[in-house]
Amino acid sequence: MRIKGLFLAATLVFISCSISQAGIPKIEFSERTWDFGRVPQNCTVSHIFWIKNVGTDTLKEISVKTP
Amino acid sequence: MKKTELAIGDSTELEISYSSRAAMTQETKHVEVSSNDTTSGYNRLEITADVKSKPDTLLLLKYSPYTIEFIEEKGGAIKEKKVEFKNSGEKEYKLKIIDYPKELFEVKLSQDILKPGKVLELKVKPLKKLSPDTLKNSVTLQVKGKKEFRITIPIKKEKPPEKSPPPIKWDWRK
Repeated sequence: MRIKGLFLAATLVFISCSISQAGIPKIEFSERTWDFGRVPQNCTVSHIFWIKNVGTDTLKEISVKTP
Repeated sequence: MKKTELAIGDSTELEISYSSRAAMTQETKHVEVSSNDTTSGYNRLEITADVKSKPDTLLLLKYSPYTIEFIEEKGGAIKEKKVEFKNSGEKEYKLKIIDYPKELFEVKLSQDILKPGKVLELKVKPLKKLSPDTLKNSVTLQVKGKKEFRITIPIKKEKPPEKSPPPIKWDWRK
């Protein structure tokens, strides 16, 4: 009975370690909206959004789509 | 976007450009960003612009020029450019630079507060030789007056015009 208990505890520790090692990627943005305000007609303006991986695994396949 | 893959703690920039057309009311555009992060779901980045005619007659804060245009001179030198702001109203304005490409330009205001009837300058100085390709960027200012609003001034450097071949000389007397 005691051996069974020890085996169960060891299994639980192994599972929790495996989960923490797998990790998950997490995307974070400097901001999600940007207001240019008053912009003259017929011109081009630009703004840089920063993307950061705040997760615990590599963030992959980052792609941008314009609808 | 410079990278499509980010290690833990790493970051990258995503430049979003907006081209205005005719003057209108506020316009909103967006892009969708996707990745292998399944927890965030739908990532929508949104930009808004209030497109105004030139000159912007409704604004009491007059400024000129509307676009900062860099022209490469002989030897590749590029001079600092200035935008002049004049307060034509009766209340003072407080100006603050909130966005510009820091790796390309040094941007300064001659003063922060613009009293009625007074003038101030926004100075834009290139930090390095600008790319020969067409450059499209901008400076955004936060303005606090009777109301709070933003002004974005485009910065551009056009590709120098290509030299046309010399005209063919033909001496008909020969």
